Amino acid sequence: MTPQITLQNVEEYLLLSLDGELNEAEQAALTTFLEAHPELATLVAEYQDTIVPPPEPALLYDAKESLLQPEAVVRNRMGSRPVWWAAAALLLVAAGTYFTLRPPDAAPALATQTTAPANQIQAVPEPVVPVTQAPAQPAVSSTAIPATTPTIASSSSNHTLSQPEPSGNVMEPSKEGVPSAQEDIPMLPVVAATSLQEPRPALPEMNLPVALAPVGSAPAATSPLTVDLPILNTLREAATEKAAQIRTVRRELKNTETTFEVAGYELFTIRF
Amino acid sequence: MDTRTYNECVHQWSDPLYRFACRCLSDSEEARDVVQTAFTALWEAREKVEPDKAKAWLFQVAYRQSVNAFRRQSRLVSTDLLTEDSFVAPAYRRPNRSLEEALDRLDNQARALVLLKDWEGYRYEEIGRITGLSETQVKVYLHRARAQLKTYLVSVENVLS
Repeated sequence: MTPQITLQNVEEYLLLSLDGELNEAEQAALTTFLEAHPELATLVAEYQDTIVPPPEPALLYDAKESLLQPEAVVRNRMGSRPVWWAAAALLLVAAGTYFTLRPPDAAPALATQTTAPANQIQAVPEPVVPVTQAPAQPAVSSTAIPATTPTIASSSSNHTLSQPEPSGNVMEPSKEGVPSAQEDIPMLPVVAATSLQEPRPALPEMNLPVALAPVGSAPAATSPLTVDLPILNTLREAATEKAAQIRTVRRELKNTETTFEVAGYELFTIRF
Repeated sequence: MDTRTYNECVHQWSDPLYRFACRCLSDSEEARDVVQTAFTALWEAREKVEPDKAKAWLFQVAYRQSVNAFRRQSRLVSTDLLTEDSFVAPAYRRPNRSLEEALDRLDNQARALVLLKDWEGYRYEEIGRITGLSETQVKVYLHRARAQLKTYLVSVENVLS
């Protein structure tokens, strides 16, 4: 609706216009009215002079810092060096790899213990550990492991099989310098495939007449319990390498600490 | 409103608020106190103040503080203030001395209304929320203030001419 502007109310419309409070129709009507009444130009100019120009931008509040509030931050006393984050990531990766590749039993036990009933152990010179079942072989009767005994092991100089629960009989080292059971071997031993199979205690329950291969007998090539040694070597080297990395990272993180703070208050500290 | 938003308000609105308080009170130290009080109140009420309402909220506090301070100043007028320093143009004075003098002659409320309109560009309705006046009151008081400014400026021109 077009407003009705007169000489009596033009001043009000003029002020509303200066304040930017008129809509388009009202502004257009005012413009038309002022064009029709040029004698009002002085009044318009006088009111325009009352508009206060913008303040000096140079006038600044110089105590902003006193108004600011501390924002929540997480500070690291070790600093923000990426090496620590990399070390933490490496630790996680290495630990995951290590525990994934780790044999079911603890490595040191596998490395140092070679236990089995003494009368059931025969050295097997072949690189592939033969753990075969030979029910048809006559020799089995003297070396066969009782069905209730979870022992399936045989050992040579670097081939180890052990029971989950060692019977206490420790194999004597051979004359070729095979390390004894008490010697600490830094490298993980080559573990026969049978030691990687889970669950080991369940093996007897399968009622498999597992027996040691008699000396000189050929290993059964089709035995599911036979694994090539190169694979074991690869796994062993990988696990050993990761274990070394874990030890290195652990040493680097030792005696360091990280403190988490919010708004200047310490929440907690992680000490390595 | 979180801490970061509050700090952004400090950076964005402390200067306009300070200029507004300076011009309302004609006293930079009083203006500094007003700004400090306004932001302290904003921080304490940050949970209730929406970020887009923070500026109006700050000016509302500053307006009330300025009115109160102006009333205190009015009661404490002393001849000690009428020294030579009283006539030194403060930093917030602009070259347009006639308009500045005209503004000084307005009462504190009228001056605040003019500054909220001309400097901050608030509409009548928004000024009403800041000052606690109705929209009609804002319009009437503003028009009255404009008329006073115009009358003073015209009279000064007549004297100078």
